Amino acid sequence: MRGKSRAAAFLLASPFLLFLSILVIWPTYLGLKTALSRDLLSEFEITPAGLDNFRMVLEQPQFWEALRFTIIFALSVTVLECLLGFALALVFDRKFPGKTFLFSVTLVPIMIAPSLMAVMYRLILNQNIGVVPGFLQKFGIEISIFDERYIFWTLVTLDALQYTSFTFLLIYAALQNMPSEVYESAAIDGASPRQIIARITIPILKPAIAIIAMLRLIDSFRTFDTIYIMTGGGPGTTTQTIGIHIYKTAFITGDFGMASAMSILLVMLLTPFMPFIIRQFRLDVK
Amino acid sequence: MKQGRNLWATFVASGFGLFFLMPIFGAIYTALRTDNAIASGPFVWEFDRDWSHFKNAMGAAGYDFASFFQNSALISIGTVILTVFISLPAAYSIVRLGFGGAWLLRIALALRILPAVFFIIPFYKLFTNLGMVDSIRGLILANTFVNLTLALLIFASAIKELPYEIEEAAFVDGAGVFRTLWSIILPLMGPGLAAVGVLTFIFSWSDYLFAVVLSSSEATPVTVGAANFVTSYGVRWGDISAAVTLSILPPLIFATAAQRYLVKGLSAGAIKG
Amino acid sequence: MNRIERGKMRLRKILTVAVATGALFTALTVAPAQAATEVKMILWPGPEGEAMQKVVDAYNAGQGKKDGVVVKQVLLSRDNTFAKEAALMKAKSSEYDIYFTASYLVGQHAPYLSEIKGVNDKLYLKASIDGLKVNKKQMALPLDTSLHFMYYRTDLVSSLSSAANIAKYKQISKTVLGKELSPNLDAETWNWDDALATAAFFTQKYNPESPTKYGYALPAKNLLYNTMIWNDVLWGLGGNWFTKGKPSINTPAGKAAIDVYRTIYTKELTSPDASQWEYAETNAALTSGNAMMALQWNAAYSELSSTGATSGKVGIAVPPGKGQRTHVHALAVGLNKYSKNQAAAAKWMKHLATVKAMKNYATAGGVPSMPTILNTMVSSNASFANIITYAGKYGYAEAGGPREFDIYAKLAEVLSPAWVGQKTAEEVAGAADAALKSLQK
Repeated sequence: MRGKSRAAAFLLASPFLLFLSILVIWPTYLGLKTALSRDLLSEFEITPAGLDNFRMVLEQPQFWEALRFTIIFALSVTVLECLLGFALALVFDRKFPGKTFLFSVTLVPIMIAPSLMAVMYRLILNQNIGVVPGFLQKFGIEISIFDERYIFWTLVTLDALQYTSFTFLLIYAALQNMPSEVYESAAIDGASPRQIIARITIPILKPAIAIIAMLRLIDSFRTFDTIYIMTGGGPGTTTQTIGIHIYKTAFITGDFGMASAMSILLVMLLTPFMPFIIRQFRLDVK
Repeated sequence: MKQGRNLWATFVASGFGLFFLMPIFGAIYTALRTDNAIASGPFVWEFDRDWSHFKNAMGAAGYDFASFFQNSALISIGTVILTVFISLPAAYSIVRLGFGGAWLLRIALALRILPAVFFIIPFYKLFTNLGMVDSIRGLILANTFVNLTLALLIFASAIKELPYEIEEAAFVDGAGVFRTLWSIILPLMGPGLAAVGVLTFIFSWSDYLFAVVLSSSEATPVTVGAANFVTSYGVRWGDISAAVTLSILPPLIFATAAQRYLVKGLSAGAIKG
Repeated sequence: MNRIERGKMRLRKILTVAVATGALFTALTVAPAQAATEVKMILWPGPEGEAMQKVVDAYNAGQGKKDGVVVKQVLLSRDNTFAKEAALMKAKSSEYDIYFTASYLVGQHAPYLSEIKGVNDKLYLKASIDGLKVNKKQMALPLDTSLHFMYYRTDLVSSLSSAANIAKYKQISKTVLGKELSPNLDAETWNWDDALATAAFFTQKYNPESPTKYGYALPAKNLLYNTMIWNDVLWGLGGNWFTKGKPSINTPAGKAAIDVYRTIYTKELTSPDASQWEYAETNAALTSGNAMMALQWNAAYSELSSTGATSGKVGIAVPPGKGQRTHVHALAVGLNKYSKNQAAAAKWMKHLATVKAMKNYATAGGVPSMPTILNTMVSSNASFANIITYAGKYGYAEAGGPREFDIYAKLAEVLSPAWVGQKTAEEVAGAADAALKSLQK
């Protein structure tokens, strides 16, 4: 059985391994090579540069500013979206009139490509021709949401408006995976709904929520389209995420070597968090 | 079940829904009005009787939206299939059969962290060599790459939650690993499968950066097509609003259909019965 | 049947159908065969792409048949056009034969382009054709010429002539700018004091009777195209990126130019949201009747002259200042060095360089860089007359070198905090010079 099972394990994982070997190994090798080269659009020749790109990135104040902003932004949206997503999943964890329709509605925001969503935000939030400021003005509320003083919270809110759908769907699915007996026996024991959530739902869902939160955190670390299109990272670099910084380095500065080096540094920075995610799977115990 | 008592849930969900639909309401409202009205202010009621923005978003502007939609649909469906085919067995192998252990998950996570920019040029070179630039197959591969980590983690976490006794019983009955996966695990994966399916479909549908670089004319998806309305000079607000409105319909239908599988607890008890 | 069984069957059915459809789709994606040599060209969407499509269609139906060439145009959105091209160029791709470029980018693109020979310079606006030369070689063929106008509401400026308004103008300019100024009704001769005082006069904060809420629409987003507009201010006050080869933003003129933007934003002559504005938002501020003037691209004219509050009431003037200069650049097409169809692509380019093709382009909505064509089209677009005069008389471009595109972006990043009052001119001018120095060739 043991030997057979090892063969089966390999066979089951083989599509994944095949995919990795075709789509990942060579591109990653090319990417690493780029990171170790002086590779600029304005210069035709690509020359080996050792660790120069990494050194230059680490010496660059913009890199650290972008990193700082990204960490604050990513943590803010992850916490907010996980809380909202969890709350919404609890609301949906029962039958109620219009559930099917409202469930689909809840998923609409992630159906719009972030780059197009940003264009829509530019339109409907525009102070002169946008519907939202228009409505607010009718109620006598005059607020400039793109004012440099509020821009951070505007961006966090808009991100939550789009990605709460993501955390909601995954938390909801995890919730559906829970055996219903657990609830039933708790209800029989006379536990109140709040007690059930606190003592049963949250502890059981903890690993799943931790994984979902980490996924969202990783994704929000790469946030790029929406903010880039709305603010260009500005004023100055005050809303520049690491994703925007990398994109600009590659496609405006034309420095692919540095952009690749930054991407690798990003992985290295987030690597310490990986064991935390992997621990959730408790791979040692079956 | 006692539906009447849960009306509060309808209210709360509708409240969130209104908030979530704000961009779409804005898009529909904009797409229905004339360009002059859009540029003049939010409450200039001048509706476009010719539906010209919707017509433009369906091809009248000279962009072949019919094939953009078709491409998006093929790419998304293909990606869902390939992603599930690759990641579900792999997740089972990792979690239950101890294959590769933590390092496979580690690689998958690292792939998710690396920004798309890192892979853009290598992918372009790779796909050129494979003859897959500007092809649906190429974009299916690229999008599978993007969604693989998510699918792997969700499946792994869902499999982990399943009671091991069921599989054990199957093994005792003499079922092999593949049979167990196909006839025991797969049916129990409903919610996880639906979540992965919906998210993979949606994320492939809304992919942009890979699509821009890896497609040119034959495999252009609707996101890239709609971006044609973001011009060098300004944005064609009405047309892009119409395109955005239309572009959410297919994933909306997919998500609505997939919802049936997000059902509660095929629990241990149900299995014994 | 229990729930498991049912679930199993449903899932199996779905998987079977899905696999079958997947297989079908793969079979459908086979590339079609081709006869004549196909030349693939990248352009961006909007007036240029649409006008070019007409030229392409005409060529494919006529001259192209003789040449044995079929041209295919591919459009991408504004930001992504250049990003994609950068990736293609670095990958030494031969997928496209003709790249879209511009005078501010040609330095970066030049290593990947073939020289274009046999172009008759005399047909083009000098600023446009010269801007596409790198080391004296013609690396791209000009299409549209782009420059800036000071747009203003003619009805509002002419209302400044009444005695009551003159007195009010003096008083407002004293409050806002600290100088007592008299209205200047001829926008063509404005300096920045005139422009700022007029903007203040039409800002409700200072003049509750103003028909517009704000006097100015300031595109102050951290965006490289916005630096191009700010350059007009810099030049209008006698400044320049470089003086005698040394960066010179950190000079009185440079700091005064930063302060013009800073004043507009901090004195609230523009909306606070302007910190995230670019072309589209600036236009919206004008057409909605919420703003009265703006430095903006010439392409805005057709929308402004026909839409909303500015319809029929929009005036054009040269950017204010002593030097009176406007940024000018040409959009262009260049020949991919790695193209496998060099000869066929060259035939198409030769056609594009003819007056006939560019006339066709202009009729379809393009703004070709050929003055003879623009002259004949003045009746359909009044701004064409201004383009010819302004490009010839005031047109100016920085000698940015191969990193010009990057310089525009860097300056937007460094200067935008000062444009919106987060920092002072003093604080950013030094950093701007440092950035210029590091990007100088």
